[in-house]
Amino acid sequence: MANTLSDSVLAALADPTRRQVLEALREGPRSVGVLAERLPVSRPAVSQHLKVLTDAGLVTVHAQGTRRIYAVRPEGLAELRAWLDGFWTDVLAAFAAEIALNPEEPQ
Amino acid sequence: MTDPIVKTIDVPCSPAHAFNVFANRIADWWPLDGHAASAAAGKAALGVTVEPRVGGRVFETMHDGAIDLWGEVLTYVPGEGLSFTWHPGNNKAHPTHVSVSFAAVANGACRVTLTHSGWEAWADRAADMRENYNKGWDFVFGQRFASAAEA
Repeated sequence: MANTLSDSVLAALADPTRRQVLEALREGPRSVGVLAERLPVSRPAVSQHLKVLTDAGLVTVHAQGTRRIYAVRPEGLAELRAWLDGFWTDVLAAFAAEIALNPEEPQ
Repeated sequence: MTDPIVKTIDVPCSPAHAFNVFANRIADWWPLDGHAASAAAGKAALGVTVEPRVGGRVFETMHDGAIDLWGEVLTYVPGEGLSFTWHPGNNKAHPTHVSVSFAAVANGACRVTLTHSGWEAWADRAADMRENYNKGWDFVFGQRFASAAEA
């Protein structure tokens, strides 16, 4: 079905620091070290947050030499988008039903 | 990832009529039982109002008569379109934007195009509602998200 948003995505986004990590990644792919420099949290904490975000499908990781580079996974927010899309579909369907029930008076 | 959500629907009437029903008679058709803050109390809202002017409010009259502000009108052109900020749940720091346009198409129909931009700010709502489950929109979205997640 279209309107699903997994618990793991919600749980991942529930932590304000994790949202900061995700926001930082939206500027571009980053290593743990670079992220830790930019955020008021330790490197191990950044690593832990990245693991949760990765498990939730919001972030991907790939190796570049000896470093691991993290990046936003665009599909991750697609579930939220699909749910909102369904919300507006419901609203417009209700609107169209009202027009059908009460047709415009001939001018 | 952050592209606006765009929905279109064609209705068999003039743009003037479609606009009038959408903006002025919104309480007659908005799904008041599930798409409003009153759902937190298991009740339907009494109404939804769009104040017909730039700077006007978009608000729900809740089941108990209280007002729940959804947003503010940014543009309002009868027969053509309207737009408003959209921050139900009082997430005013990160308002999203909704615009609705009405245009005549073939066979006397009107094409209604609804565009919701900046919606990614709702990721915050999705997170907050888990901890803030019993208030208005938090409940509405929480309940729906939760049931979707269990499906």
